[in-house]
Amino acid sequence: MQKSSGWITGTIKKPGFWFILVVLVLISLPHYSEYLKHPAFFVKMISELNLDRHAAERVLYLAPVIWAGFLFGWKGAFITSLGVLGLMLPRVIFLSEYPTDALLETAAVFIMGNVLTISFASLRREREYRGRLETAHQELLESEERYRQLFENALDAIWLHDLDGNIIAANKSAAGLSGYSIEKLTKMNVRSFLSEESLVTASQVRRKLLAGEPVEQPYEQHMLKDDGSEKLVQIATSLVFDKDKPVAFQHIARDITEQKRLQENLRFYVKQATIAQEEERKRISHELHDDTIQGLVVLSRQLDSLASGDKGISEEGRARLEELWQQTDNILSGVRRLSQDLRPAALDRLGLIPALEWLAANTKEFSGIDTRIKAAGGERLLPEEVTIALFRITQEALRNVWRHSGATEAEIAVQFDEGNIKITVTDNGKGFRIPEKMGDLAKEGKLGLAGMQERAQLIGGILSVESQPDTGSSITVDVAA
Amino acid sequence: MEKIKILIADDHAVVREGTRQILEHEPDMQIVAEAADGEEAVRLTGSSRPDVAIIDIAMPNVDGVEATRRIKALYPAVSVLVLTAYDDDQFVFGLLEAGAAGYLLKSVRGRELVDAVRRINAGESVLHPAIARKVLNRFVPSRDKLAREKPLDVLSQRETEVLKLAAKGLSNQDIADELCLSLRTVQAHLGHIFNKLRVSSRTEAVVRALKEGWVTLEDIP
Repeated sequence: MQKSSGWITGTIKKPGFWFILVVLVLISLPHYSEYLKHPAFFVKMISELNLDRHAAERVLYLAPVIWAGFLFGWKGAFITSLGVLGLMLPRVIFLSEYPTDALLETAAVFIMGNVLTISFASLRREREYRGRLETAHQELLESEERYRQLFENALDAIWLHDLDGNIIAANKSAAGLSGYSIEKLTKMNVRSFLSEESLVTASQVRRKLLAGEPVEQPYEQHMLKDDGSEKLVQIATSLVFDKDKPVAFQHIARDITEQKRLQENLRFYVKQATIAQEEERKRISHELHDDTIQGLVVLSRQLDSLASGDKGISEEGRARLEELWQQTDNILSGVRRLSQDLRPAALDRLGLIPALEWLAANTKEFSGIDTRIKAAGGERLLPEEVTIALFRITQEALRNVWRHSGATEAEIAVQFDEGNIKITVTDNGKGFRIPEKMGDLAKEGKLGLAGMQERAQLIGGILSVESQPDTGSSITVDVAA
Repeated sequence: MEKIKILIADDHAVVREGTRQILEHEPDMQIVAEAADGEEAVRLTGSSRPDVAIIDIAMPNVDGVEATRRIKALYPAVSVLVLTAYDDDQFVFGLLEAGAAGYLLKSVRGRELVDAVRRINAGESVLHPAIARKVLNRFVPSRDKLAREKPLDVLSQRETEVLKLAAKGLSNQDIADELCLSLRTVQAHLGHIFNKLRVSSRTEAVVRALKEGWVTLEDIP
């Protein structure tokens, strides 16, 4: 009910509606009144067509019907045609001299009106439809063109191949990566680019994708260039479907050979630098021990001999010599400590646990933090680089505790397992905020932690950090050895 | 008078020379051999049979600790005094385990070195009391040992008592007073103890007693 009343009010609002009404009236007036004459041209036109006046007027009624059709659709045309019928029938029934002909003409107008409306309407629909089709087609062409541009000019290599590995399409970057031209590529099979191992990886990925299993993307893959050299790429693979059936594989790949090499060089450099640093410390420590300390011992003894001997030295002289002996002894203690800090003798002579015991005692002595050590599992001899790395990591961890945590207690827990060693340093200090990624440690200025992580990685171990503000922290290094 | 025969082992010639000078100054001491490394030290101990061997801990080609171990194994009557540049507990433990009778810092005053040699030769302890307790608690007897040898299997009743008192840090005179024995008797007992345990110093005897579980740390002050 609502809809139709809305439709009616909507229609009445349109000016077209009123024009049609006016036209209807204009036609009806002469149709019913003999006194009103049509314009001359009209009279001439209908006599040439051999139509009599009233027949012509009936034909005129087609106009508003068709117009209503354009404006208000077939419904409007039909209603208007009914109205027109209503307007024509009285003449037919009451006034016409030839009622049968008049009736036929009236019926013809009624039917024609509707038929024409329907034809025009469907013609219009057709044209609209074709127009839309054209537009859609145009848009599709444009979108295809854009995609093609993307495909062609992408920095990453993109190529597609069917389920058997025959290449269907490849872009410029793919040609650059492989060394072959695009034309050649489309005639090749991907097998030509893969070594034995890469083939295994590729097959696995394809199998998983086809089975709907998850594949870790992107992954790394080795590719063979046309000159036989190998490139390392980071690659993502997806399935291409046609009506829900997989028909091809699409790969997007990036050449990371150079990047990988730089990374490895950097790693190597860091490792060498760390080894060099340790060697240097060892050398200095030994020199201090061999040259400096022994020299000071001899000096100290000579002073002692003079001070306590009976070589005729005055009391003052003796007192002075005593002082000098004491000073020398102090220097000796200092040098001894320096040498130990650089490279604890226990580390080389006695092993990891005694060295860590020394570290605990030393930390306690100088920082006041009650540092304990506990070891579980059977201590065994470890390769030198592992021992020294574990020692340095623990040393740095304790240094951090000393400097930043304000802790009063710390513990070094060493766990020897079959083929694996784990050391955990815990403290009861104020804790700290751990960055999101371990890789951000250096960025956030936590160089000590970054250095520890690097040392751990160099021996193939893992460093993990746990900390909560106000509940202390714990740093663990875990390595297979 | 019977001079105390001494062997000095140190890889630094100047230090060796210095030690020699300090000791030769004493009328009751005689240097019978000098070695520059651990291997030589063991060899020369065999050939010169010193009473006391003064050994530097850090030597090339068999270090001081290993040399001590070997010397005690081959010539148990020799008392070993270790000179070390490091006075860390870790080293002391290792030294005592190896059988050293005592240790001193290299930079020690001549007087102390001389005293130490004399005391060691007399079977007395040269272990700094501050260190003693801290280190001695590392000597925990192994569980199976506790079952095995009872002190009375090895030492007599009297000898065990003497050993326990020695472990407490009492001097020979104090032990004599405590047990109402003469000084000479106590010394004789100690001599027997050392023989039976195949050690040559008080320290070694105490260490052995701790390891065997005959004496626990509660017995030691």
